[in-house]
Amino acid sequence: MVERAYLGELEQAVLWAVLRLDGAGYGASVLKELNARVDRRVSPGALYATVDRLEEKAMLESRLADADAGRGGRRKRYLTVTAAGREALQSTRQEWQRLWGGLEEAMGTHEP
Amino acid sequence: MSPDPQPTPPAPAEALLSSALPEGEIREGVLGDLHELFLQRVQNPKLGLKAARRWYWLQAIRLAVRFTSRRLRVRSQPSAPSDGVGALLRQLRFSFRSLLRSPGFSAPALLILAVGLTAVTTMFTVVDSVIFQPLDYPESERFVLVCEDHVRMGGACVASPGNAADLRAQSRSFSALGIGRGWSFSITDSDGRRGLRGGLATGSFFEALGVVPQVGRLFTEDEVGADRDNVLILSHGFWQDRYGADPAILGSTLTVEGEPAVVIGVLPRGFEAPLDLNGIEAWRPPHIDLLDPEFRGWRGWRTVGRLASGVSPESGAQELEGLYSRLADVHAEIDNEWRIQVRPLIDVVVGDTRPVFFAFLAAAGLLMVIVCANVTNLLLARGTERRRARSEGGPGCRAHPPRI
Repeated sequence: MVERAYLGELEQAVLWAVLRLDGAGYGASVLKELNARVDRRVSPGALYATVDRLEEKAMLESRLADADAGRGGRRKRYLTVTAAGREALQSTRQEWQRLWGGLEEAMGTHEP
Repeated sequence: MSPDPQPTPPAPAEALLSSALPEGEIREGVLGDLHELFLQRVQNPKLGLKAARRWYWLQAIRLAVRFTSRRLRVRSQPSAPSDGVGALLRQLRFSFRSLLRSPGFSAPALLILAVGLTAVTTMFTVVDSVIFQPLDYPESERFVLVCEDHVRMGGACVASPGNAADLRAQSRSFSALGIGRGWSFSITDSDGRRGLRGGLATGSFFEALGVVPQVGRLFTEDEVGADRDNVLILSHGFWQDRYGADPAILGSTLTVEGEPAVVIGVLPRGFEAPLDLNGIEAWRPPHIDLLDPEFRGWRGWRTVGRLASGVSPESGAQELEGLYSRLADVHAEIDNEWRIQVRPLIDVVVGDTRPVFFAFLAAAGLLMVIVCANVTNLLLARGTERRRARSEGGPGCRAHPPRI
């Protein structure tokens, strides 16, 4: 039996940001995306820990690009969401939707 | 004119971070990201170079801690795969991060704890060295002072050589009992004449203190008395300072107060006789016959004793009281106002100061209680603040699902 991957809040957000950046996601740009669009300050440390975990779960992979003068001659480490990552994100989304399903009325957010 | 050079992150912070990061892709990516974010902050007019440098330092320290603890955790896995080590490292990392995240709490808490622990440790060290371990003698709990005390002197601790010699001969409770006193004299050697802080003591005085000479031997009973006391024992310090710790001094003849005296021994390094006999540089045997009735009333000596194995100070005292009352029957100068006492040396050395030191120790304990109460208050205040933040949905509140 395949163990279902659980995604934490920040893991979901990081996968979402990397997907959104569509191949242009690396540490600094993912951080900028998260801080701009998620209502929560994310520190570099928290981001790298999350990326580390997602790589261990084989949901993210990385490749190095060419050196960049604006980065002190360091190369960017671009991130890509793997198929397993997309699947986990999708199933988490569906789970949340199921959880919230039918509650719109009770919450007073139902649109007729 | 060349354009202004681009600002760079603080080099020590970058070096710290670089050393903590694993080689390869991760180091390249993280250092590049932080460099880029640093430049963005420098260019932000609300932040500027100083704020950017501060930010870089903070991030570098946090990341260095994170990656170092991760490295340690990975290293500890093959040898100690148990959850205990991993959980401990996680807890340590979490604690450290929590402290860094809330300096307003951690700084005063650490300061209070540091002050309290320093005070208590210092006080305990003082009390421990003065009260609990004040005597640097082997088996010092068996070491007692045998004191003759007069009712009108109240608490005196003196001894007559004749009484001490009689008690020594008759007692079964002591493995050694001897007398000593300060007695300054001068010596003359190839370097000239020098007055020194001297002392008189029997060999059994040193035996009672558990002293074994570093070189040579102690005085024998035959060397006690007029015209027989032409021998000398040096302290280690005097031997070192005056004769450069030359072992050849043993057996050589010095002139003591105009009379020849042979050096027969050197006491071990660090040895000091107790109480007012501290700091004596050289010792000679008593120049009197201890049992001479003329000196029976000369109570200018200290008597030290070593209780025989298994004998308590109380039973030693009981035996000496019986012997002393029998001596009083024979020697008229021991009137009924003299009494004999056995006092553990610790009581004599520490004396009346013991309650004062215990009061200090209690005060230090009380200080520690206050420190704990203060830190508890800080923790409670922080907990209350967090609960309030959660109930108001503030920054302490973690929303589920994520607000993307």
